[in-house]
Amino acid sequence: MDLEQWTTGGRGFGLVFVWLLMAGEVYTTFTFLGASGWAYSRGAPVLYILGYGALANVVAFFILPCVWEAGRKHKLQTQADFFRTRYDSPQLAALVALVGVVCLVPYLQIQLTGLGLIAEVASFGMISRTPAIVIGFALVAGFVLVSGVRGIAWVSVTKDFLLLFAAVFVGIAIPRIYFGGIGPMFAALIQAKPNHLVMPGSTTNLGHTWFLSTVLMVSLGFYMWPHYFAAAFTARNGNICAATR
Amino acid sequence: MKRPSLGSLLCALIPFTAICFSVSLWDRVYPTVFGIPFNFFWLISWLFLTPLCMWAAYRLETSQTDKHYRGRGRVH
Repeated sequence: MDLEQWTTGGRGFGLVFVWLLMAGEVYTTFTFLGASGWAYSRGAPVLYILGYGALANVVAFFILPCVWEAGRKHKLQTQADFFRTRYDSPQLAALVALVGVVCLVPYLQIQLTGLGLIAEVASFGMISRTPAIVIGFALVAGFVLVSGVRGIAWVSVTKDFLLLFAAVFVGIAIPRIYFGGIGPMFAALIQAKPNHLVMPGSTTNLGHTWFLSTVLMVSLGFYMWPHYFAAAFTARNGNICAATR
Repeated sequence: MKRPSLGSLLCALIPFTAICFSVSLWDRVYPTVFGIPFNFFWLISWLFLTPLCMWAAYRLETSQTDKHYRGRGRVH
């Protein structure tokens, strides 16, 4: 497999496959741990996730087809490649690559910490955090090295369905078991903590101004992530990038 | 790379207005819908309505491309 196959899958992914890849890349440990943690500790401000989740893809509708087109024309493989050809500046490309890597380090650290926590809790403490992180990291690095973006896309497909199943199951089962349904659960919540369910929830500073500015910033900047950005290169044609939004 | 049409930009402005700019209008618990607080229900609805807006934008963009090609006689 040459490098172009490894990074872009030969630019041959179809509509459904690109969609599933992109969806899978968005789901992280934040989806389960971070988001539910925010809902519990902060309340209504967690709604910003629903907001930027939709709006980031509205922005991508306009950006990704252009990225894809430049990718095909100049055989681009990474985000830095795009900035090098678009602005004809190797310095800018170097800066983009550097910022991408620097930002991915804490992002990965959070993901791995989350992975360790989940493995520890799910195994009832039988696998402690550090070995779980080491094994998980070795497995992921190994399969990505061997398979490239095609393997990542297939993992995304699996992840999409497992996550959807888990989210629907937990979202329906827990309210049913503990409250007798989603409606009664909210009724109990409204009675116990009415302020939790409107912004700023249980915080003092995450009000409407915060929501507006955060949703705007995150949705405009979402596809600056190098791995989301470069996923556009896998599509068979530019319309796919627009249509999957 | 062609510029997006005004129509498709307007289609994109709808979800931005509904989700982002109008937050102080919909961030309330009542009226609850199916037992769900109004702000939750509003955002969940827009998860489904946003793709509808973008579908319209997609239709606008692709119909323009077709016209563009027809204008050149589609000789290629």
